[in-house]
Amino acid sequence: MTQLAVLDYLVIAIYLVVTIGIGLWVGSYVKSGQDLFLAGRSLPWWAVGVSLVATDIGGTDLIGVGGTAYRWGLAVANFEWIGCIPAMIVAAFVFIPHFWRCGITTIPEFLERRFSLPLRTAVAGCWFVFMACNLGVMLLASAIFLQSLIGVPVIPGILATALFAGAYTYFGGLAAVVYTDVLQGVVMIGGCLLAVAIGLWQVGGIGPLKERVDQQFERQKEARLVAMAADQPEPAVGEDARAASYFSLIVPVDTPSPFPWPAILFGLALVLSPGYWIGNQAIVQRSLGARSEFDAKAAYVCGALLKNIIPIAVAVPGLIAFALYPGLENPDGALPTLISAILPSGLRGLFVAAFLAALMSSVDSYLNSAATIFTNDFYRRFLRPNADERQLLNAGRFVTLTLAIWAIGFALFLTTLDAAIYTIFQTLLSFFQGPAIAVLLLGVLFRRVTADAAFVAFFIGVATSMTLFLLSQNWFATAVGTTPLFRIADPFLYYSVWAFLATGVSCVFLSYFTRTDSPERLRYTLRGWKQEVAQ
Amino acid sequence: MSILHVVGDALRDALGLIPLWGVRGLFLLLLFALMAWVVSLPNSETTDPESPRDRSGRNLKWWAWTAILIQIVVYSVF
Repeated sequence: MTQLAVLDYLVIAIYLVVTIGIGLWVGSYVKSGQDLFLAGRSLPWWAVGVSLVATDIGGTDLIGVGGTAYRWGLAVANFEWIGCIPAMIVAAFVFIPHFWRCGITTIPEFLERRFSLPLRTAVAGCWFVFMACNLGVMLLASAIFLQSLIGVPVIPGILATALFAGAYTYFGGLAAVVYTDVLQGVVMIGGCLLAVAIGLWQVGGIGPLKERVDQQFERQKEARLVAMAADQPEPAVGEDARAASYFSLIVPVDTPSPFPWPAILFGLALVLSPGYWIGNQAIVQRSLGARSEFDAKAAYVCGALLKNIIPIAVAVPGLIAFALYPGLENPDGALPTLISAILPSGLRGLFVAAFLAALMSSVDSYLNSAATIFTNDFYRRFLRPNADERQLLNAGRFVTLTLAIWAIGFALFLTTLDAAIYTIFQTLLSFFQGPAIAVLLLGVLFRRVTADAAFVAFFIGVATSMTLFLLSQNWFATAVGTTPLFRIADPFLYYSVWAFLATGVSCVFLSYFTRTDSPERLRYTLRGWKQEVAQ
Repeated sequence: MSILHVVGDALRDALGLIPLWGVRGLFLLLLFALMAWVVSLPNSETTDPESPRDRSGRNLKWWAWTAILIQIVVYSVF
């Protein structure tokens, strides 16, 4: 646990007061539903760009990525580099400007305009349930980390986070989320880079860090191989896996880590990452609130540039901890251990503020986006189609409050369950994200893809990922007398690839047997839009 | 062993035959292709229509190009 002094608490208090101040100040300008959900389409590119990056790094990610780097090496940085930047660039110039021009509030809304109401409702339902449950998971996971970091008990940690993030999200909506994200992004990246600089200075620089990490890795590999040789005559990992360094981004197929290159390239870079940056409401929503089409594009490019430095801020501390403190039983303790040891009083408080910033920037985004989906895709679509802006504002705030209370209750409920619950909710996302992005991409790019085919294909994709999940469970494999289908730990990336492919292939196939969509729907393809502009 | 296991093992074995330098080439190829696509984008899609024409710093394609270039360097080194 990190020991904090008065100066540290002062730094944390200043951060919290400034955050709440920004949130409430922005909230005083919110007068309509559009202000709450899309910030009145007034956001500048730089704010959206920093917000995109801040939202992407949650509190648990901050600690977890450091821990994963400590355990498996630099390969975890793939999630921030090839797992973000290419998709962000493509999104910036193709998809985001298209969504912005369409004037939508949510991604499911686009799916109705291009395809059908049933598909909109199905995708909105998946996202809403996932976001609502994930809010509880985020609160609990972060409270547990907060306890290990500074000793705050779990339940007060859950309540305080929900109260702070909930208060400014309730009043200020998307604008408050984005502008507080800017502060949070600066604190988070600045705090982590400071820890990296001090850590590198203590190790002696980049060269000595590499030397020490390689030495520790060799020792660890030898110990592992000796242990394996005692159990089995043939080593379970191949030559490539044994030759891989702790600094390798490209890791072989037979690695014991969760990052074999096919999963990174096909699962992460080509499916999950586009699904996240193009189809995740919590991410896309802020660019829909940009003040112009150019700002929406520029925000994604700005985010892509910033993403280049994120692994240095969040993964390198794990490598420094590996060099300085090898052999920790819990890799997630790597970052707190490092912070306690190397940072002086005051800067420790800054790092805790960075952790809180990462935590709150994700909780507020999911809170606002879940409320946006419920209000626009259910309340406005089914209950009050003629609701005016004032009614939408009230409904959005009511849903935000309800979700915050639900998240607290759900987080408290989760404390009574087994820890495996976190993995289950992370897996939930991989069930529908591949199918959702497949129908979205096909819908934007191809006119021949039909509404009926997209609806059926979405469920085929969800069924595929759920089947693969089942087949990779030990208990299921034992019950049917076989072995788990995937050999790596937590094969979410593989579920997504196959679900994406199943959705894509079935959607194209079924489209040839179903009637072509009306010209009104085809307007929402890229080609349809360009033709309309040309006329 | 189900049919899925057989297919999965065959795929894993086939992918395992690709040497890591070839995989690195594949990653870099993806990034170079993206870079070429970004450069080929018309200026009308990458600049602010309300900004003066001579402000090349406002052309997003060069910032995107820089982001990808950094990635190419990173994936060439690590």
